[in-house]
This record gives sequence, structure tokens and C-alpha cells, in this order.
Amino acid sequence: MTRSSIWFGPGDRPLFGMLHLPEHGTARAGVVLCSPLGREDLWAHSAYRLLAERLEEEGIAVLRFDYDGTGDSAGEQHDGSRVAAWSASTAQAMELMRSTGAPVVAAVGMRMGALLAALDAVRRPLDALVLWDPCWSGRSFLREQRALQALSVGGPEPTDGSVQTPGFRYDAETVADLQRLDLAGTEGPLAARLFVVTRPDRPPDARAGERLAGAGKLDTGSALGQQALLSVDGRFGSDAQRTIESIVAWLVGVAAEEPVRLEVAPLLAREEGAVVGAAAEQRRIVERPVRIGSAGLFGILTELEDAARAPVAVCFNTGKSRHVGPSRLWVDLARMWAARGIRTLRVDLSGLGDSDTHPGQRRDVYYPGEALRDIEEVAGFLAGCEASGLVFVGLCSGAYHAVLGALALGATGVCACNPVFTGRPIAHDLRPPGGAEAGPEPGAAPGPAPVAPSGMGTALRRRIAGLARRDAARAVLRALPDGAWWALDRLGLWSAPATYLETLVRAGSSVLVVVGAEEAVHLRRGGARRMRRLAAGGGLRFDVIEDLDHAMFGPHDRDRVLEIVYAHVVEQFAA
Amino acid sequence: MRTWWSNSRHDHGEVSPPVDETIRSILAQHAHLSCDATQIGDDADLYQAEMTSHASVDVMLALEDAFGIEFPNDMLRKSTFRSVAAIREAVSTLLNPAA
Repeated sequence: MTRSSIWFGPGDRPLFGMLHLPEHGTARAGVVLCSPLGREDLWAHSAYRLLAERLEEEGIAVLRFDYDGTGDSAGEQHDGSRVAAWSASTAQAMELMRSTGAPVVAAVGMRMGALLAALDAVRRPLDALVLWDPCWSGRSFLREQRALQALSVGGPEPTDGSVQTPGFRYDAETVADLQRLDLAGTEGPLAARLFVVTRPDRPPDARAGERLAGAGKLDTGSALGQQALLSVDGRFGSDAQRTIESIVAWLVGVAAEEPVRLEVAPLLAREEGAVVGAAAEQRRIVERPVRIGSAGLFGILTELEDAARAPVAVCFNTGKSRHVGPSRLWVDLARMWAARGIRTLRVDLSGLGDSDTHPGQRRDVYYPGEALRDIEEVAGFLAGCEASGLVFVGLCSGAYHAVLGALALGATGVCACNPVFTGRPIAHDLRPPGGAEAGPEPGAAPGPAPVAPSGMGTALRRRIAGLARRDAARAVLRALPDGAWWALDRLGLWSAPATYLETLVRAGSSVLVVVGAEEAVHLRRGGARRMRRLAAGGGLRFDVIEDLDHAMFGPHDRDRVLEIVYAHVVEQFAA
Repeated sequence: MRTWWSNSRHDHGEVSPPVDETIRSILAQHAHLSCDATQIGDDADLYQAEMTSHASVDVMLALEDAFGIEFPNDMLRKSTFRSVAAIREAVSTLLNPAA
């Protein structure tokens, strides 16, 4: 089996894709996976990856891709004519799959990806089409996402016609164009065979149902586990896996009996790198997918085409989100930094995003126990790329890994946004790779989890960590005055986050911490005075944005953080 | 003819069950509460009973379908869906705008 990252579509605005090819380059069908939009795209990624791998095992070729201005493709989310661009990207992906000569050409789309795939199929019907928990109209998508924003994050409604959704804002033009997308308003066949997989508690409405009745030979199924899959913590459970298996079985059923050799050589010729933007003096910004180390860590290196020796910013996953970063922040930062001569590697740690796993490792663990080993391999890779320094960048769990990497390996700089120090002491993660200690619980909630000193007995450490996970105990810990935290730190029963930051500053790192008000309280605990001293000395910049949402889903959160982090790194590290 | 898609009660013009019963039935199906939705107190905090923001969106969509209403943007607040009583008041307001 082979999996290749490719660039396709317009040469001056390339689209990024991941092509899964069965063994011997032959396939019984070719399937294009059309992603959801916005935050749903981030959470659906692991399900799409598993679906692609399962289809590949069954002898079916798969193309995963990012629409223009999303994921790793060229363009920005605030460019004009977004809906037309997403539709064009979908059409280009379909044409690419047709160009391979696949005997059966199909598409799978989840949520808005289903709507975009179906609308493209109106133009040119497919052999087979799977609509997975589809949005039946752009209006329903916007309405649901707007409600989710209001009920989860809050904040003022935009007054300029744009719509704020969790982490993504759609401008007035995009909103108007989305409102016009309506599958029920179309006519004609969509595909010879249709498989519509809906949530048991969200059957299609009558208009959509009647539209599909005349769109092709129709099968229906249940989209189980969707709410968990697309919720904030992105749980990918056994229900969602059953749904994937039902889609695989259906596609295997509609695939050709005999595989044919696919024409993919022209696609793979563009595997190496692509121009994704321009800097001053017509210098080109180039992105290149890379695989690193024993776990095949996947990353994208962004740099000026003729880059000289320069520092490299390394951006880590946020939770289970892939390397594009929270609300695609790492992609935008990478391209902006490249224009200023700073290279960036946005990378998936093992088991996350498009990276593989070490032997025996589970996927989708936010704090993989193998993280330090991964970071060491990343540093080793960059040492061969003439990196003049490393700047580790992350949000939430990514910020933890940025601090961990800098403590272990040393770093020119660290940018930590809303860092979360969980029940696992950094001292444990700093042990040599391959140690037997288990990692922190995936998705552990932020909070004042105690960090036990290395000399403490294992049983006592576990007892303290267990206590911290209980809500009542946590409430008591939160109520402790700063003096008590200081005393716990001095007694060695807990480690103040200030200790880590102080260690970094003393080692010569330039440290930027950007936090919301609640996170600031946690970080200052037991070390407020030391933090002030570090800031006064110039080694630490500690920016508090009072209303910053932890995941940066609030209105303007992303842009505010981008501005601070971009300017800081340019100021500190640009030539 | 039997269809596989949904026709809301509102579209059918069926005699609706009492508003409260419908609300509690929707909560039972969509809110994923840590307790029995049919037994929860009128003023009990549904978020305290582990209704997530995602679940509250599902509740909102189901209420719209069941009652043939649409929550305006200014009602898209946590407080609108905080309790059975709050939901009942919001639904009543939308069903009887002149009242």
C-alpha cells in the first residue's frame, strides 16, 4: 500500500491532497473524500484517514484533499469567492480521479463535504456517491454552526453580515453564497448508486428525501457516533468506526470486479513541493511535505525558495487536530514567517494527524508518551536542514509539547498559547524515550493538577494525581491561596509552571506565553513573583488576553493570537 | 407511501401532545442528560445535568422541527435552553408571538 502527498489543480494556486493507492498501483474503484468545513473538518480528519486506509486495504484508491484556502492547500480563508473556490476544488479533485482511469469513480462527503460533492455530481453524475451525515443546504450548516458558537463560546454577533462559527468566520459574501446552496433546489441524477447515511435522530427532511428519491438507486444507513465525532473533544469511538465499516462495505459492493492499473505518474511528479505564495522581490514561498523518523512523522516545511540558513519554527498539534493548527493558524503563520525569512515545520506527532505510530502505540492520544522521542527526531531532521535555531510553537497540548521539547533539547524560543500542564509531570516526559511510564490521560482537563517530584513514591504520586481529577478535590485546590501553592512548590509536593518557564529563560530561550484570564491564574500559581521577575528581565513575555477562549473559538481570538505570535517571532528571530 | 425521511408533526397537522411532553421527549432523545428527562424538575439546570453545547444545538433543531418554529438569533443563548421551564417559555413565545 502506498500513500503519497500530492499537489494538483492550478499551478499558481495548488491544492494539497493525500493519494492512497492499493498495492501494485491497481484499483477496483477511485473514491474522492470531500471534507466537512471549518471546525468539523478538524475533528473528522481521523475518521477520514481511517476510511481511506480501510478502502485502500480493499483495493480501492482514495484521494483526500483540502479545498482552496483550507488545510494545506494554497489560499486563505478570507479570500474572496470562497464557495466558488470550494466548488472548483471539488470539481478538480473529481477530474483528477477520473483522469487515473479508475473503473468506478465515487465520492464520499461528510456534512458540507456531502453537499459540495452532491452539487458537483449534479454537473457530472458519478458512478457512486455516499452522503455521510450531510448538510442539505448551506443555510442549515450556517444556522447550526452559528447556534453552536452562541451556545458554546458566546460573544457578540458580527454586525457586518458575516457569521462567526467556532474558530472560523465566514464573511458576508461567503454567507450569501452559502445561503444559495440547496440540494433540494437541484434536479437530475447524482449517481448511479447512492448511499445516504444519516444520524438516527436527524433523518432528512421531506424536501431532501424527495430530491434523493430521484437521484439514483438509493440505499440508506445510520451515521452512528456523529455527535461525539464532531464535538469539541472529537471522540472517535466504536460507533463511528461501525459507520466507516458500513461505508467501506457499500463501496466494495459497487466497485468493479477486476482492478485496473491507474495512471498516476503525472500526479506523483508533483509530489515534492509547491509554490503557495510570494514574498517581496518576487521571491516564492514553497511548501514541501516531509516524513521524519521511525514513525514517519508527517509535516509540511514552509520556506522561501532560496532560503538561507534560518531559524525554524516548529508547530505542534493542538489536541487531536492535525498539523494545520487551531483554525488553520499554523498554515497562515508559516506562510507569513516564510516571507520574513523564517522557516516553519508544522508537524504531526506520532499517532496524530497524518503521522504513523510507533510499535504498539495508540492513535489519537493528545499527549503521546512518545512525544519527546518524536521531537528529538524532528530536531535531528532539522539539523540537516541548516536550521540556525529552533522555536517551538503550540496551543494547549501543543504548548505543553513546545515547553517539553525546549526543556529537553534547548530552543532558541518558545511560543506557548494557553499551555496545559496536566497530571503528568514534565519531569516524567523528560525521561529517556522508551521509558515505561504511562502518559497523562488523553484530553485531561486543564487545571491545577499537581506535579509530583521525582523522588516521591509512585503510590503517593498516583493518589495525588487521582485526587486532582475529582471535581470536588479540584474545587478545593482552586481555592488555595497563592501562598499555599508556593509552599507546596517549596515542599516539593507540586511544581509551579513558573519553574519550567524560569528554566527555559535561564537556558537562554526567548519565551512568549499568550493566555486567557483563567489560564493566567493557573500559570501564575505559586510563582507569580518569579514570573514578574522573568518578565522584567526581558526573557519572558507574558500576554494575557482577558476574554481569550481556551481553544481560540471566540470572535477575533485567532487573529489576535496570530498578530502577537507572528510579530514576536519576527522581532526576535528574523534576520 | 412509506418514506424513509422525516415529516415533522407540524407538517402533518397532527394533534400535538402537550408542549411539556414534547420538550421532555426531545430532551430524552437529544440532550444526553445524566438523569431521566421525563422526571427532571422544571427549573433544574440542564447544563448541570451534563447537556453539552453540542447537545443543546440538537435540542434546538429538534424543537424547531417539532413545533414548526425558528429560534431567532437573539434567542440563541445558553439561558434559552437552561431548563424545561425556560424552553417552554421560549417555545410559547415563538408559538404565540402576539401574546
